[in-house]
Amino acid sequence: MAHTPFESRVAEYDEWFDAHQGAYRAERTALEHAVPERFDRDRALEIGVGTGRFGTHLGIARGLDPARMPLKRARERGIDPIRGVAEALPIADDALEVVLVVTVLEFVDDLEATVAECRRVLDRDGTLVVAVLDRSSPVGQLYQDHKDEDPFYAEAEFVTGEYACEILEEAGLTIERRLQTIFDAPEDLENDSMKTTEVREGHGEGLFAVIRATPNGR
Amino acid sequence: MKESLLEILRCPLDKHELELEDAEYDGEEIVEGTLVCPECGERYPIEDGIPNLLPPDMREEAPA
Repeated sequence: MAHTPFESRVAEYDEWFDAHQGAYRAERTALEHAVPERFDRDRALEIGVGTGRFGTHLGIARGLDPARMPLKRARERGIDPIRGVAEALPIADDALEVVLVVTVLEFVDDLEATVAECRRVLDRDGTLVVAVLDRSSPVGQLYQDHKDEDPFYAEAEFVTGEYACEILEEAGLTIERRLQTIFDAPEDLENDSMKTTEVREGHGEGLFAVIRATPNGR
Repeated sequence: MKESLLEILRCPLDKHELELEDAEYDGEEIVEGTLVCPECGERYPIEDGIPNLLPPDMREEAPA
């Protein structure tokens, strides 16, 4: 665990977001469309919070990650850090209104256990927001082709937005919204703010696929 | 960590409530201490204010 790149290369991981502000802005915008407008921030958790780049921005107070070094950075950004794994969440049943899971399903050891745990900790009326790097999108296919060259993605198992939806539905969750963004390589988004704020419905075109789901068929 | 976080924290193994032992505070923050599961007896350290609730088989040795 101590030897994962997320533990040993925290600065490098965190700097990606500064070097790719266009892509980061697009991802935040898509997530804003999926996270509820109002919620109790103390009853909101980001799983795989890393350095807190998303949770902080979306008003989520709690952050869980297996790696210690990124959690320290997340705390500096205002996140209450918890060390733990997604497959065995150290969280009470029905305790949360919002659970955020961004680019995490690619890295977990047990996808089904992770989704089952997300459902367990969510209140019946709660909201689960998941984002994956959609393997079926054109940019996602490039990521898949070159993943072994990347210190962070070499260990990743990329999934499609469609497959992520199937896993959530099999766990008894109801899909409420499918959104996507990043239709060009992140490197090409830096000088084009029109491209970076574009969020579309559905999956399959954008690299960053967002899903909003609920345990309740409301 | 803030004491209010205890309301939602549970043992990752059996999801039982945890008890706080040997807590050291800095203002309202708990900086060191141990979270103990009275059900299974497992002990989880609070390290530099961060509760380490990794399952015991995934927890590395504490850094020297």
